[in-house]
Amino acid sequence: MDKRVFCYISFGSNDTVTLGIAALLLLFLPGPGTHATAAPDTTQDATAAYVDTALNIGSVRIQGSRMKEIIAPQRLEGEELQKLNALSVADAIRYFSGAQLKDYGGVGGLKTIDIRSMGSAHVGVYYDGIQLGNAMNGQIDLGKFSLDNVEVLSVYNGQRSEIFQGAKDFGSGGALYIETRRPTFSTGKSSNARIGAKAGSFGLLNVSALAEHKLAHRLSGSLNAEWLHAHGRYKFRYYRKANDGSTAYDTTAVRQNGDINAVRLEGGLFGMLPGGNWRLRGYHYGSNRGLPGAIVNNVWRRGEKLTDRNSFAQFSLRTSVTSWFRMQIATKYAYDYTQFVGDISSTMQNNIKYQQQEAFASLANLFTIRKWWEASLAYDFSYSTLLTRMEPSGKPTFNFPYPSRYSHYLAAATAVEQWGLKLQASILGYFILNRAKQFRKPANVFDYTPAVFLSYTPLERLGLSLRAFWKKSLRLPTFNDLYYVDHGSPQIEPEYVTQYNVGFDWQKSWPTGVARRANITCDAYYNEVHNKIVAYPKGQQFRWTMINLGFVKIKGVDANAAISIVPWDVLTISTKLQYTYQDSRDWTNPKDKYYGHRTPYSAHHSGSAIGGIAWREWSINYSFIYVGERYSQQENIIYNLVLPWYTHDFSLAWDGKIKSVGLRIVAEVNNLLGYDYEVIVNYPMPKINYKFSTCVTF
Amino acid sequence: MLHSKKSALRLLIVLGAIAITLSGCWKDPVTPAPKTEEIPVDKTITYKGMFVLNQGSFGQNNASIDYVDFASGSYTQNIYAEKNPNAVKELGDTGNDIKVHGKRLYIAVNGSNKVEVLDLTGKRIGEVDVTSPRYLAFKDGRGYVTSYEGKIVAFDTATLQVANEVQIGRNPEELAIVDDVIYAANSGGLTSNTLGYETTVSAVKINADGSMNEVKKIEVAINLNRLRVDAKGRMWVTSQGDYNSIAPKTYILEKKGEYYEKVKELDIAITNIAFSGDRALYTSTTYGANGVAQSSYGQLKLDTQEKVGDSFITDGSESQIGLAYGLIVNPTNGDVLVFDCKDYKQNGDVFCYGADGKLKWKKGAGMLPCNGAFIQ
Repeated sequence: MDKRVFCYISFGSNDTVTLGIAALLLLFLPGPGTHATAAPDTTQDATAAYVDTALNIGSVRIQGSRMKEIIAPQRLEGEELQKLNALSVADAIRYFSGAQLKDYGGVGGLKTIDIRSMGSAHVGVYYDGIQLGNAMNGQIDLGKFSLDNVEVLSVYNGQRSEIFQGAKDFGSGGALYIETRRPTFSTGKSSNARIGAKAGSFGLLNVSALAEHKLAHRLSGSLNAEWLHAHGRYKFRYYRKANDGSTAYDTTAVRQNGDINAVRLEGGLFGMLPGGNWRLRGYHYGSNRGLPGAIVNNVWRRGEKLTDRNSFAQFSLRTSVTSWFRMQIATKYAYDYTQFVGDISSTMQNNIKYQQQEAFASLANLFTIRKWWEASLAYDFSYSTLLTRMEPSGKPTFNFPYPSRYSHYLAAATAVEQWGLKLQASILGYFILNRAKQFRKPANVFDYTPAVFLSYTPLERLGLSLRAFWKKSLRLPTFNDLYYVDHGSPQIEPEYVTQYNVGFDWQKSWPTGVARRANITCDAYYNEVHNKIVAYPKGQQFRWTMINLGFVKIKGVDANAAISIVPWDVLTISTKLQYTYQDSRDWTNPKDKYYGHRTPYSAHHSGSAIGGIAWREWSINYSFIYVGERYSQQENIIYNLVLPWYTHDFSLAWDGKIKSVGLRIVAEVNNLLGYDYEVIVNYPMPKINYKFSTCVTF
Repeated sequence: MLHSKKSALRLLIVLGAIAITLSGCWKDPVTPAPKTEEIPVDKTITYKGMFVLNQGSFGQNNASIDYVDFASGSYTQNIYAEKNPNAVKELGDTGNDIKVHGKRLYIAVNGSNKVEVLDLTGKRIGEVDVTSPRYLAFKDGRGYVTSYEGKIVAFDTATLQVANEVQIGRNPEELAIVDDVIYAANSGGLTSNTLGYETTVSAVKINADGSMNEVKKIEVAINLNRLRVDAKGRMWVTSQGDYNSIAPKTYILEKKGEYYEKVKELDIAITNIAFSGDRALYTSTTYGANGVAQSSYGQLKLDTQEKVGDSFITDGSESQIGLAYGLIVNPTNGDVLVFDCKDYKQNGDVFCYGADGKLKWKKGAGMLPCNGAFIQ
């Protein structure tokens, strides 16, 4: 087999997958329309070829290529992502329309993503193509995922609309794919290195190092380490005005107990196969942090501490078995450990350890039936367990049920592509077996969810495509939902979402002129959440149980526009605007005072604007984020109103080369006007803050 | 379209203008004004008024108080912030108990670790710092408050300083003082997961010098909550069960020798209780198959603890009540006030019933109305 097909391709980043497949198709589907010019020269290094081809693919559509995802996601990648100077994945989420970040503030504060108000538990977060799990509460803290080694972030509504993927990938209501960097080597180089450091407000110190080496012709490896430390103290202000405009109170205090010390270690091996590739990754994240908690009257400091250890190893392989059959194998083992230590004076049990384990395996098969017709079959299995222990005795907590869950997922999908029309239909079957060593065993779940995705590109040269999807999905009750303390609710059922979406995508680029690239996307959607799992108090002592009660209807529009203009040759101006309209309302029970009211924390209007000016090595970036009025509770009354907020962030960067060493230096000012705001009530956000970073590559 | 420098510049100007416009509309938080509604004036009530404590939801800092003016016939919602505009972050987080003592109003604010002290118009006098306070009782110029830290804290009502404290069982709830002995119901509810529930009432002696010491642990049942002494000196103690296999029950304690002892078990789940003449009115919370709580209502003869009729509500209006979260009786005319917390996720209602069990008025309260205190 020809060497030139061996190019580094990734599993999740679709452009590069397409690219790899395109390269394959050069062999398998020779004929008119395959842009043979894009094929790498056999004498060239395969990875260099990847770089070369990638340059072409932006404007060239490869005909006869394997079908791409039907609805392109919102994506932040490469330089664009770098320009945000974000520390964690969470900070970057704010620039996606339709996605809401629940941010409890500070470097170590919990940050979770919600897409289109369906609830965080409906959003699948995938790390290099494999879903991150949290069997305990279903929450993925995106603040823990550093952007240091991330190359692409993609947000999908519904699911990633391609059919060659694991069964679980068909299951989420919305999905965030985090793609880490793959080693690529420029001609004549066999290793890369990068060292970065950041320092700034909140006592932030952050050092990271990356080394990549080409180990053999078809094998490369990378090692990445990062350390982050912050004392987490920042000034915040609470004030109220009286109706006559005079000051009722105005007080500024320092956020306490927000310290964090975290280490991340990652290693990867990347290999190529005839007609495919594989990837092995080890990940470890460990952190000790304080939980600053809610600021309430008379309580301005809390002492809870949290220790986290998240480790996983995952392997994935994708290969072409025959010209009409491709296969993907993925497997993972994850061990998560959390220790919660309460206040000395806490009235609750104050030292508990939680241990979660998950084993996962996935097999996906893609069949090319005709050039325009593909089908796939995927099976995923996962096993998860949870254990809690009291410290220091190490005894299990009272009434602990020792839960475990065997989950089988089976997905079948098909895709057709003809005359500019792309259609995909998939169905996912759930076979969930719950086990508990003692007490009531929750019911098993057998269910299925279908989805249909459609896109139509009337004329290639118009750059316009129309799209639509319909999808049903469910979220399973988490271990916390089922077994919360001793008031478990084993009777609770999955929560269901139905999504309808229509939209368009227009993009155009020009090789010359002032405007170089423009892109507008707009989607309107309607979602229904049935059987919503909600927390419900039991007894008088802050005891909660979970019930299936709730019916929510969500209407919304997501819009994005981006343009880059080059008024003079050395100057590039790029802007990106994002706007979200959302109307999420509770229609559970007409007897409720909040019947028909907007759901907590859903703002009608939110948006962001990013602008950048690049002149030679220098660039200035500006970003603006706005979140409109919303309510902290179900009932939409003045007492629950949370005021709109917005921030202005600026950065100045120098990005160039000194001899062969790449150097990037950035100074940034965030929340420039020092606004006092909250994303979540009683969790104040920092006023103006600064960060300096530098990064050396060689 | 944008192929000229001029139009590109125009675009930038427009974007800049939008950003500047948006920057100009930063809204400052404003103290919301109280809301007043009329209620029927009732000449039989000799009390001036009543404060209603709305617990607020945990961690939300939205505890509030309402004021009912019997003389003028008005119900005013959320008076604290207006009366005390300078109180940073208002009344606080999770109000639990409200009591009038002397010319002052005391509020145990659990999540704000304090007992708030107001005058009878609702103006702030000060606070006593107590970690996780639950219920209040008073005797001889001292306030006594149970703290979830497993103790009773005594404070001087003149100086608002903590005088001393005594360790009792875990997570105590209600308390009552009989002569010079404090009785407090231990629940163990917050630590049940790791240490199991408590099963006792602690008897604490107040010594002549004001010091306290626990003299006895009276075995009753698991997870105790209410502890009330009726006009005849009988003590009513409720057990909440374990929300699982052990059902909630009610116990009668009587004084045998120096201290109280358990004399009777009633197979009745009581969530809220209030005495009215020769009767004890109560509400019970039961959980349906889907986990949703429901209330039922009843009354018992004080002396025999036998059930009388079905409910103290006679006009069928209990169907309007979501979940009874508090119950008090106006001693001057026998009006029964039921505090309805709905589904814990919305503002509640206060229902006022006449002694005949017919609904007199109903008004919107704050989040989780749980208790009330009358002003003479």
